[in-house]
Amino acid sequence: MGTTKKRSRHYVVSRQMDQFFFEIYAITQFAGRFFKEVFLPPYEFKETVRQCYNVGYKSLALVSVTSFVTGIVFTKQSRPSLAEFGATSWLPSLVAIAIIRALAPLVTALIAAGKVGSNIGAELGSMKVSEQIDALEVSAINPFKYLVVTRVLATTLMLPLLMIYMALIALMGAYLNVHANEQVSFVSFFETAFRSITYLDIFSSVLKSLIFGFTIGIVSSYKGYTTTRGTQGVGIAANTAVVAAMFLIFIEEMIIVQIINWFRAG
Amino acid sequence: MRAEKNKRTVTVGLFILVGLIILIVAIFALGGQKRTFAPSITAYAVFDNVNGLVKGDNVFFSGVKVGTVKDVEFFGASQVRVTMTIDKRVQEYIRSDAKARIGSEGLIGNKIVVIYEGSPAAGIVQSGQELQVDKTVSTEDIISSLQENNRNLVEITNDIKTVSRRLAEGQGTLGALLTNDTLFQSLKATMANLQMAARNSAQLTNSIAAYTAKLQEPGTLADGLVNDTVIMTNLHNAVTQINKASEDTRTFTQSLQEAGEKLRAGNNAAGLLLNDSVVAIQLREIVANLNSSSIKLDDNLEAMQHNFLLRGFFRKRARQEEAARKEQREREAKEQKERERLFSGATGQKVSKE
Repeated sequence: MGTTKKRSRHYVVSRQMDQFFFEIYAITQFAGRFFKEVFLPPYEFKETVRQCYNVGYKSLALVSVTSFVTGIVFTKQSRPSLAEFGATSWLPSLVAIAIIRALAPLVTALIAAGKVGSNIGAELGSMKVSEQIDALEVSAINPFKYLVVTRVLATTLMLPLLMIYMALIALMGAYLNVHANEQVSFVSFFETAFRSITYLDIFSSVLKSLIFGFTIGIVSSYKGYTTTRGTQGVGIAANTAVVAAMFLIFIEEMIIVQIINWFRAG
Repeated sequence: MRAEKNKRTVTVGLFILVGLIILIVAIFALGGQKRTFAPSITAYAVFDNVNGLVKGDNVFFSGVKVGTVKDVEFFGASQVRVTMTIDKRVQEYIRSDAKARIGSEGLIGNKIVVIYEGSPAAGIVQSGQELQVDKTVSTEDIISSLQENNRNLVEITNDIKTVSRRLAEGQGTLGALLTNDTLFQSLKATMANLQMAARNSAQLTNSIAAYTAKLQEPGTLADGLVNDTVIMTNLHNAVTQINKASEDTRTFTQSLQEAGEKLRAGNNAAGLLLNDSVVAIQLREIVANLNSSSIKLDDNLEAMQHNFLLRGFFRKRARQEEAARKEQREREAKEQKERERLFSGATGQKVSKE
């Protein structure tokens, strides 16, 4: 009984809540360390390029297929609603707005969170539990810089690029569907599509992708970098990296859309 | 390993480059469409109501997109000033007295600013100029007009309801027609009569057509009257002559009338002769006296012929008369002979020919 009282006094709210708050603090500190390390030499350029290759290029095929299907399906599903009041000519505009404003950054981020996030979490987790990170430290290499900064940089930089590819391929898919149904020419489709797009849309999508990329990199690196409890911990790290990254992506999406809409209205 | 690393670096570079190219192309496509990088002019328009127009909406001139709405801000008491960016290339086509109104891309489409009209006499629009504004027909106006139509429709439907109920109940002329058999029968009879009348009319029309055709046959009087100009001239002359004759007759009748009146008056010789019985008696006596006198004179003259003084003269005259008669007879006989000779000559010639 006395032990319980002692323990409850030890936690501020409860064990889980305290752990959650601690995690927030730890991630913030982790992100702060990233910003400190990213500007300090030595710059791990080669490792960054390797990570860019893994995150960007190796995800391209998956993103392409997904975006192509997304474009087709989204167009197909939107048509009946517009056809009800004879506005299928607005389909390119609708699809372009949906893809560029929302789908491209969000879907790319979710795919990257699933593929890249779990990869980073598992990789860093296994390095942590097999004490490779400690070994790096011993061999005078800054493991944070070598492992975390390069990965976070790679995800932050590659996500906007993947988003751009995704938007283009999804619009292509949408064009194929629109062309098959409404016989709209390629030029006419893109003319109509871009009519409703503004610079703010493109800017907000790139900004969102940057933030999502950074989130995926930081969260999954943090989860991997702080793995405990052996190989079991590696699985947990990979899993929580994806879940936490996706959760944060949705939260950020909501906040960014809100902020962008202030600009749009203004 | 080094080759592998190089390959990876090149791939990443290519990946980044292509991605950036796509982004730049998209930005330029957007810029081309929104003509962000094209030179432009600014124009203003102050509206009472912009019906939801927002920054970034399009500006149309003659149905062509020529710019975008740069800003929408309150102005004055409660008006709204719309700042528009218009492509400099179309500046020369927009007149300084052109008007602006808020339109819509469709019934439920985006709002647009429509620039229209403008007279060639006015100069071209200048940057920073404020365009005139016409009141816009808003969706609310359309809906209120539709509401008015709806009310009218309700009234019309009510009227139709009343009419149909009265019809069903057999009220009024049409209602009676629907329900009353007698009326129907008499209408039917009327229709039959009308049909007969129509048939007769048709026959009559045919007859008239035939008659007209005959009238139009060349050589008939009517045709001549209508088509022959000579007849008309002749008729005109004839009528003129008839007029002249009637004028003469009138003059003659007038003279006769005057003569008659004078005869009746009795203050002249003829009138006296006609009207005065005393004069008539005296005249008769005169005539009787004359008759008696002429008989006596005849006797006297007969006696004179036998007088020796005058007997020679009469005998001489008798001889002369006898000689003249004889000469006459001889001439006649001569002429007879001449005629016979001529007749016999002609007959002989005819016979020899045959």
